[in-house]
Amino acid sequence: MTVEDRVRIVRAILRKEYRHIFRDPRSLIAAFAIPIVLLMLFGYAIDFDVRHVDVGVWDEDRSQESRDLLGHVFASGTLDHVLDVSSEEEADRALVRGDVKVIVHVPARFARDLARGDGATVQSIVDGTSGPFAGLALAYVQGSVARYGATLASTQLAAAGLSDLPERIPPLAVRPRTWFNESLESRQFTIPGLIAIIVMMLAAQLTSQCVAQEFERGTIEPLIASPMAPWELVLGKLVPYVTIGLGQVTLVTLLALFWFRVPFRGSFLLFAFASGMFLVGSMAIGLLLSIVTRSQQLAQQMALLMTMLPSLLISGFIFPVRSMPFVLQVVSLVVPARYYLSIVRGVMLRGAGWAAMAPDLMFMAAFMLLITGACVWRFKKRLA
Amino acid sequence: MISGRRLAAVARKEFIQLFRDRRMLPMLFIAPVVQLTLLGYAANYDLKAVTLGIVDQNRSAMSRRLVDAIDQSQTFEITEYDRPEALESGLISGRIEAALEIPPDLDRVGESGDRASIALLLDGSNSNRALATRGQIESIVLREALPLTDLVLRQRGLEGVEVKAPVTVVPKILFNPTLESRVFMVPGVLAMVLTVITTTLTAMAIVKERERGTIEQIGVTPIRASEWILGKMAPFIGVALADVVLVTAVALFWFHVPLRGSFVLLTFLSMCYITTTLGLGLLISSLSSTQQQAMLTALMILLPINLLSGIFYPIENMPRAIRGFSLLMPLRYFGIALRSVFLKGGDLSSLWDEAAAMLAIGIVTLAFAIMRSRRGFR
Repeated sequence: MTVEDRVRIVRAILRKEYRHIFRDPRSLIAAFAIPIVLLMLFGYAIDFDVRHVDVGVWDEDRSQESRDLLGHVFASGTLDHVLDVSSEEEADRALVRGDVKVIVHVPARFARDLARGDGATVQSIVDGTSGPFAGLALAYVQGSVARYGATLASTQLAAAGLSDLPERIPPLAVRPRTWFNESLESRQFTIPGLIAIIVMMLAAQLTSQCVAQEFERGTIEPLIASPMAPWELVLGKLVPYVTIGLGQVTLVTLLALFWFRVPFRGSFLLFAFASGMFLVGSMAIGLLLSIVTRSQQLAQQMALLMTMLPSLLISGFIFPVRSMPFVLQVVSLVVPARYYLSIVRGVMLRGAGWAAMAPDLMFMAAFMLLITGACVWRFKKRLA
Repeated sequence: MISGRRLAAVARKEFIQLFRDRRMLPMLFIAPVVQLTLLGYAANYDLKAVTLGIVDQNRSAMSRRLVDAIDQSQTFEITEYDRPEALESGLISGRIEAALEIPPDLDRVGESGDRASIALLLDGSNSNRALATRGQIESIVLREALPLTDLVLRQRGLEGVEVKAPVTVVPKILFNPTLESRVFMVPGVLAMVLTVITTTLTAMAIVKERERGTIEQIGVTPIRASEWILGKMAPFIGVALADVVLVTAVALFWFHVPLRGSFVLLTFLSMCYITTTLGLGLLISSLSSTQQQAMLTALMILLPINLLSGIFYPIENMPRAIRGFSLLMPLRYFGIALRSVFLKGGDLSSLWDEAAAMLAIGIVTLAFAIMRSRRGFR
């Protein structure tokens, strides 16, 4: 067989695959509409900045001082004063029912303790099941109470003629500066991640069906009977879906840049290259499952198992990989979304270059070659 | 009238068919357990293993003490660099998430009475992590600064004056005293795993028969549409219940998540929830003509359901329109109910509105799905 023959065969397969795809316009439209809808939805909905925390107040002191303190607590607008309770039972009930996440409890001795100079305490009862917000809400309350304390201290020091002291103590201070997301909006972090997740999920699912479908329908027979080599079939099946995938990536990234104003500080070429490799790898997973299981139901279940849930939870999309147990960090090495996510975030948010992203790129390349190779090998076995 | 005998016959056939492919068994029973185990470990918001780069331009006993204090907090993975420029490239490449520059005059601060400032550079990409890192570093530095504060005060003749914060906050944390995120994430992950399995199973079920043409064969039997559909779902209900027991066992005995409420209530709530996922899967089935479409539709619906359910991201933060929409999502109620039953010891009286919402949505979805399927049946 000459090279021309092989090229002709591959082109024939490509034509057939493209025709299949366009014959099902609903799937095609869905393939482009879904990513857009999802990005819009999550871009607006996913926001884990602490904006509102419902807080209840249990003020047993009811003094001018306690009112001042509470004024400081609710001054920032992040903590919302939504209800008042007057006993421990009421406080517990409010927390169990979820009406409030935190209860600020000012004990009856508050003003007295302040006046005596002994140091007063305020209790904050937090619903520990409210997730990361428990910790953050606590931090907000502590911060505003500390600010109240600081104003008290300044007044006292000024009265003693030591008003320059607050600027000198403590003698060590931290001067923080934030890079890459100065406004500290969680959206800037989530959206690049979403690009990766959305595309990844669709990728594997699309291909997981295609070969299994042929096995189930019996249309695989003519392919087996033909003089086609397995790698030509794999190539022919992957290319059309990868093109669709690249279209999805472009669409979704443009949306992120121009609608959500997520920055793009790095190289487009690097981004495109990584996206291409990622798509090939993910689709090859679906293809491999297809070939191995020959059953659409099973292929789909396995594709879901291996792509959606791990990609969501172990890739670093929501939770940082570094804070996971070692075993999981090792498992995440085989989740391709992890590398793609790292590259997307690096390129878009930090302007990282080829050298910085080299380890991730290498892993992705290795992964892609491995899986595509496995596809060809398994398909050869099936055909034999 | 629905004939119990015909329904039972269909259910038996479905059981046999489902388990005929032995490879499905691990998918149905082992996969949820594996998923919960993996994801239960992955899901955590705790501040750990923050990569921190430090440039110590002072190299005195005091600066070493500061670096030690940071190291001992067990929160950071410290790498020391020689030059501040290296910190920059570390941040850009992502090798470090935060960088600390200790100024050369750190240890002379006591004498001059001036304030020394330590520059902290934060990678703001993950904003909550950045904020938490800043808080940690600030509190460590504050602690280390206390002896210096005494020094300054002594210089001013204020010896022995204890600088104390006038007001301190004493936290009391209910239900999860260690604030371990795993404890509240596991019930949520449980709900998610159940959702994915039951919805996708049901979604593929009817489409498969439609693709194969076996629906027409059923059509010539006296079996009615409702009997056929309910019988079809029978094995899935069984699988789902078994999964509830299995993953709850993992949550209790592996993750040591407390179950402060009753197991019976847990099962009841799960049943209420399963009616909704079965209904949803059925609806997807009736809307699709090929398995590929069913799968794509299921995926398109499952991703928003999981991410907007309030399990990973707070519903309070979402725009009002989406928040309203989430009222229609059974997973939202199931997530709340599970957390309450596991961690707060919630009972039926505090959860009846969640149960009612799920049942209502489930029955409506099922009825609607059955009506739609009936049309394609005859």
